[in-house]
Amino acid sequence: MKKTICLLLALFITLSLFAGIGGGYSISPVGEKFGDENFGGAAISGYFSPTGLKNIGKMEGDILFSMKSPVFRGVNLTISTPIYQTVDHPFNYVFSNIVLWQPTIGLGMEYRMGNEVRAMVEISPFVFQDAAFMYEILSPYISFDFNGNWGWGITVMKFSASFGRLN
Amino acid sequence: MKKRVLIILISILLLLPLSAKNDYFDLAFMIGQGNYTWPVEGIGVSYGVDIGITDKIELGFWGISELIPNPFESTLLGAEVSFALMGQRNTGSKVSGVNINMLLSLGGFWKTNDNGMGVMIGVTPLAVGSPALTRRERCLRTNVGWDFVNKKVIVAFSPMDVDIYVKGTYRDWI
Repeated sequence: MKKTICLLLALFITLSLFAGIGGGYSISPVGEKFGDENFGGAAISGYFSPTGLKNIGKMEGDILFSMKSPVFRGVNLTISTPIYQTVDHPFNYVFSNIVLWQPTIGLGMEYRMGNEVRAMVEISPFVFQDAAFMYEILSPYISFDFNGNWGWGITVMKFSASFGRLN
Repeated sequence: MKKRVLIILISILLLLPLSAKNDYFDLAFMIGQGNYTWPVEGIGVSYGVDIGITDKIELGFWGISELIPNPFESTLLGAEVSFALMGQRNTGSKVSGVNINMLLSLGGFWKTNDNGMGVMIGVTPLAVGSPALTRRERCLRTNVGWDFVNKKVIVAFSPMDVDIYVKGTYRDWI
């Protein structure tokens, strides 16, 4: 018990290194095809960013639900980071406020019903972060199992309510 | 049947002159998520163009394409006239129109995979935003149509579409 408390305290103190933490949550439409199986539905997501709105090293968890049985499809866990960030881009024309353009790449693991575990790589070229929301459009991903099979999926639109700081 | 659909589409296009001399012209590109095959076994993307005709009428050309399981194997294309039911969508000035609105749409469609064609009626129960604000989100857009070719009902549904205005925004009045 004492060891657990000490470990937790050490963990929380370490977190102070990340003074500008951030996070967010969303519900988004998602579709996936793997082998002969495919589904469409929604993902409920939550993420934690140790670097606030910069989203470097962002950790995200998704719970996937399908529109047809079985409804619960699985869970994704990903770590992602922007490969580039700028406020000087042409997409500001589309938004009411200046937004940070953050094309992002992520790696993760999927758990699917039937005890299937897969690796995944996600690319999100259109990610825009402002003070209160993260906007993602057309984010595809590829998934592999450990038998050499592969599939893919896509999140069409994801608007995440965000909190955090930029500095 | 094809003549009927052509007449409807030409009638829609004939509405364009209404925008000839007015300040209600606006132009938006739309992107969102949509489906028209049931039960849902994948996901689709919706896209389109909206052109403001009068303060309460707009002309729309849209498509819903399958992404999962087979990208763009099947596409539903539509053209419609939409009526804003809860007030002006565009005031023709820098003053924003009603930012919470409901849209009623009448038009036609064509399906690429089986050449289905027909007429369609749609409703968008909640449209948040306006051209002046540069963006509008259309929620729960539902279109129901009759396919004259294949003799069946078509239902298209989009949980959310985002209209991004490039013309008719507050920027045009600065």
